[in-house]
Amino acid sequence: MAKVHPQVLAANSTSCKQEVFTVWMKSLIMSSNGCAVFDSNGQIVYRVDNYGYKSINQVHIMDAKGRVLFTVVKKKFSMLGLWDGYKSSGTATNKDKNRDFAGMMCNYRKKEGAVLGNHLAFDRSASFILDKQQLQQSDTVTDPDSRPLSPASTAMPAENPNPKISLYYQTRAAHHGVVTSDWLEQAQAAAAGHTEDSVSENYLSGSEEDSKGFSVVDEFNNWRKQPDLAEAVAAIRSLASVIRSSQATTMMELEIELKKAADLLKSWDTTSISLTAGCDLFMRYVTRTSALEYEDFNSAKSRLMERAEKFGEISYKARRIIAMLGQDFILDGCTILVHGFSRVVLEVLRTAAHNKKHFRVFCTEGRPDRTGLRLSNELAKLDVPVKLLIDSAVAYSMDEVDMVFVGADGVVESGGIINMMGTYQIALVAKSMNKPVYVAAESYKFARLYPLDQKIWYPPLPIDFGVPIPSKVEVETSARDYTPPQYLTLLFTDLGVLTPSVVSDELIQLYL
Amino acid sequence: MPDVHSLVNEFVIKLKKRKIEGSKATAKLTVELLRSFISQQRLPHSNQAAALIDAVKAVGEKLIAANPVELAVGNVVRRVLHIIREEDLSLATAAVGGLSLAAESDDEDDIDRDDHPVLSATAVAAAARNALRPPSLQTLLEDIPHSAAAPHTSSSGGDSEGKSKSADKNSVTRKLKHNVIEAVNELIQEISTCHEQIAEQAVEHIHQNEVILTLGSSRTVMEFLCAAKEKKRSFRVFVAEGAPRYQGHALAKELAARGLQTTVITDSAVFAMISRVNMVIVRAHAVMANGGVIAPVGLNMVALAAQRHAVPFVVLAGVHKLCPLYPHNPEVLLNELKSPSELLDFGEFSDCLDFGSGTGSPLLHVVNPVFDYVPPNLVSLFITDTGGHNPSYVYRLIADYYSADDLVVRRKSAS
Repeated sequence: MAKVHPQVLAANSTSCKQEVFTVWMKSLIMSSNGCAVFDSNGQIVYRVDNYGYKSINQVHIMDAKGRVLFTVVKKKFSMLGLWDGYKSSGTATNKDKNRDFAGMMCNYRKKEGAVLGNHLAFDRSASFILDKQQLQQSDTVTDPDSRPLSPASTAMPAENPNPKISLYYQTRAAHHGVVTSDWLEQAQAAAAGHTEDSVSENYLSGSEEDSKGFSVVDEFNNWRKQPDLAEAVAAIRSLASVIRSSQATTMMELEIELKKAADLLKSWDTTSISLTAGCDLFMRYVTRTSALEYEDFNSAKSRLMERAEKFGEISYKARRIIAMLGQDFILDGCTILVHGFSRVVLEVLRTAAHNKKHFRVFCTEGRPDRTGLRLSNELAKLDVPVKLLIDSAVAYSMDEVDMVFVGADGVVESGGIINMMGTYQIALVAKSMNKPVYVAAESYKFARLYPLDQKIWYPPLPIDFGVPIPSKVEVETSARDYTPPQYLTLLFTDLGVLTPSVVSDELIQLYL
Repeated sequence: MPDVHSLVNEFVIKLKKRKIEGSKATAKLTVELLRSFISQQRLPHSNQAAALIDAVKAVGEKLIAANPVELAVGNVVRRVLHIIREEDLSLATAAVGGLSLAAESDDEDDIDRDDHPVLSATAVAAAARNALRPPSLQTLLEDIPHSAAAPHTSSSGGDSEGKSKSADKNSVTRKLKHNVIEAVNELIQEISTCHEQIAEQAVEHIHQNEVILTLGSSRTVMEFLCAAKEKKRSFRVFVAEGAPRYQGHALAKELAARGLQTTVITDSAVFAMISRVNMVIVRAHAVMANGGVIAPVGLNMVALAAQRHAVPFVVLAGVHKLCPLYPHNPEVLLNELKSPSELLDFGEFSDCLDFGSGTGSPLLHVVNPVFDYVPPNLVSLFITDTGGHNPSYVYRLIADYYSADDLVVRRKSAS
C-alpha cells in the first residue's frame, strides 16, 4: 500500500479553481511499479516508483495535510487495471461499495488523457470532470456521488506484468453492472438509456489510428454497444464493414487486410471462444476459392459483401431460430433448471412463455457473477415463476427438475461445451438422475478446440467472500469449465437440433 | 384427377380406422398411392418441381393427419419429396451445363442484374447441391448463390434470354415426372425387400451357440433368425410372450417349426433370464432422429435389463422407419392406447368399468399403450437395409434420405 504525498507547494496545489489531474497507475521507470500524477499542464505533480517486487493495488491520494482524499484501488478481478476510486470517509475500507469513479487501464490504446479532476483544496470536496470523450454524460458530471469513469492508460504493453484480461468479460460486466447494492437501479438505467453502457464503451473506443482512418476495432465496439448483440456477430459485422471500406484492388490484398483485421479483433480478447470461432468461420468463408470464380474483382467484392452481410443477418437471427426449436421441448407443467445468463436461453424461455406454455424455472445463483439474479429478474418480467437456488442446492432440487437448459460460450469439436463454472457439475448431477441436459448455442460458436481436461484458460474471477482472505489461503478463480459430450442430450443450434456427435461432423465438413 | 382424389380419401379412411397393420404395409401402400398421384398430376411449364412438391405436400398433410402415430406415412411422404428435389436438381445441373455457354453471350442484356450473368455453371451446381444438404456451417456460407440461382433458373423460362433455352426447358419438364416416378418405383422396391436386406446381415451378428432374446412377434426378426439358421449357425432363442396380445406364442411356434431351439418366457421373467442371454434382437416401430426408438410396449424394460447386464441391444429397422423428427414427448405424442378388452374381460369387470353405474366415472381404469420409447443410450446397434449403425450415426442417414425443408409437411398457402 503505497501512500502518495503531494509535492510540497506547487503553485496550483492551493488554488480554488478546479484543476484536472491525471493519475497514471504506472511508474515512469520501465521496470518497476508505481504511479505518477500529472496536472493539466502536463507537469508531473508527484510520482512514486516502487522498485520492489510487489505491484500496487492501492493508492491513497491525500491533500497537503495528509488527509486521505481518495483511494484508488485495483479491482480484484481485473488483471490489467480496472481501478476503483473511493472518496475517503475517514477509515473507509476496500469494501466500501459506493465507488466514486472507476478507471480502466487498457493495453494498446492511447487515451485522450485527463479525466479525473478534483480540488486539492482544503475543503475536501471533490468533483469530477469527464474528459471530452464523455461530455455528453454531463448529467453525471458534477455530482460527487456520480460515477464517471477515468481511464488512465498505459501505452506500453510490454510493461504490463499481468497477462491480458478479457475485455469481453469486462464489458459484459459493464453491460449489466456488477451486482451491488444499487444493482437494480443500474439495471433499470441500463434498460432505459444504456448510459452506463455507452460510457463504459466510449472510453474503449479510443482508437488506434489507422492510416485510412478506419478502425475495425472502432466498428467492433460500435456494434458491441448493443447489449443484445452477441460478440461474435459484432465481430462478423465489423469484418464485413472492413470489406466494404477496403481499398484493395486484388483478392489477395483484400484477404490480407481481412486477416489483419481478424487477428486484431481476436487479439482484442484472446479468451473469448465465440469471438475467435466467429472470426475463424468468417475468414474460412472468405478464403474458400470455390466461392470466388469471378474474373472481375469488383463483382467478387460485392458478392463477398453481400454474403458477409447475409452471414451477419443469419447469425443475428440465429437466436430466434434456436428459440423456435427449443421451445418445442418445453412441455406444460415442466420445471426447468437454468445455469448462467445466456441470452439464447432467455430467448427460448421467452418464446415458450409467449406460446402460453406453463412452466417454472429454477435459477442457480451463479456465483460469483450472480448471473442467476439477473436472469431471475428477466424471467420475473415475463411472469414466469422463478425460484432461486444457491449453487450447492442443485442436487437437492434435481429430482423436481424435468430438464436442464444452458447456453454455451463455445461448442468444442467433441460436442462438449465450454460454459460458466458450474455447468459440468450440474450436468453430472443431471446425468446421474437421468434428466436431459439441453444446450442452446448458435452455430458460429463451434470452435476447433479439443479440450482434454478442465484447464481452460480464462481470466480468473474476482470472488468476494465477504471477509478478507488470509494471504496463505489460495482461491480457485477459474471462470469456465468444460462439459464432456456424454453428459449432454441435445444441442439446439440454428442448424437444427443436433446430437453432440454431429458437431465434429459439421466442423470437418467446413474445414476440410 | 377425381379418380386419384377418391383413392386418397379411401386411404385416409383406412388409416383413420387403423385398418392397415404394420409400418411396412402402410409405407408401401402410401408410396404406391403417391406414385399414382404424381403420375396423374398435370404440371405447369415452369417451376415444375415446386408445383409438384406443393401438391405432394397437400396430400401428405392429409395422410399424416389421419394417423399421426404411424410415422412411416410421414417418412415416405418426406422421402418422396426428397426424391422430387433431387431429381429436379440433377436435371437443373444438366440443363445449366448446357445453358452456361448461352448465358455468357447474353451479358449485355442483363446489366441491371448484379452478378447473375457472371454465375458460372459450377457455382450454380455447387450452390444447388447445398440446397439438398441439411443446414450446416458450410451451407450457411454458400447460401446466397443458392438463392440467386433458384430465381435465375426458374425465371429463365420466362426470360427473353434465348429461345434455345426454352426448348431445353421443355424436354426438362417432361423428364422430371418420369425420373420421379422411376425413383419412386425404386423406393417401393426398397421397402418390399427390406426384410431380405436386413436378414442378409444376420450371419455377421449371430454366432455359434449363442442365446438370443426377443419379445413379441415380428416378421423382420423371424426372417433375421431364420437366415442365420440357414447358414448353419446353431443357436437358441428365448421369446418373451409380449402381453397383452401374446404374439410371442406365434413366433415361438414358427421358430420351432423351422428347427430352432426356442423357450417361451413371460415378460416379467425377462430380468431374471437376461443374464443367460448373449444378445437381444428386436424390431422397431420407428427410429427417431436422436437415435431413440419407438418400439412395442415392454421393450424399454428389456433394454434397461440388457444395459444392466451389459447385453447388446440390437434393433432391426428398415430405412422407411427412420423418422427425421426429434421426440420431445414421445410417451404422450407418439403413443396410442388400445382397447382395455385385451387386458380384462369386459364381462367379468363390467360393473367396475361401467360408466353408467354409481358416480358416473368408473373407479377401475385400464391403460393399454401400444408403444414404448427406448432412449438412444440403451441401444447398441441399429441394423438397417444399408448396414449396421450406431445410434449417434442416425443423423447422417437422415441427412441422406430427407431434406430439411420437409420436416414440417404443410402446404404453403401461397408459393
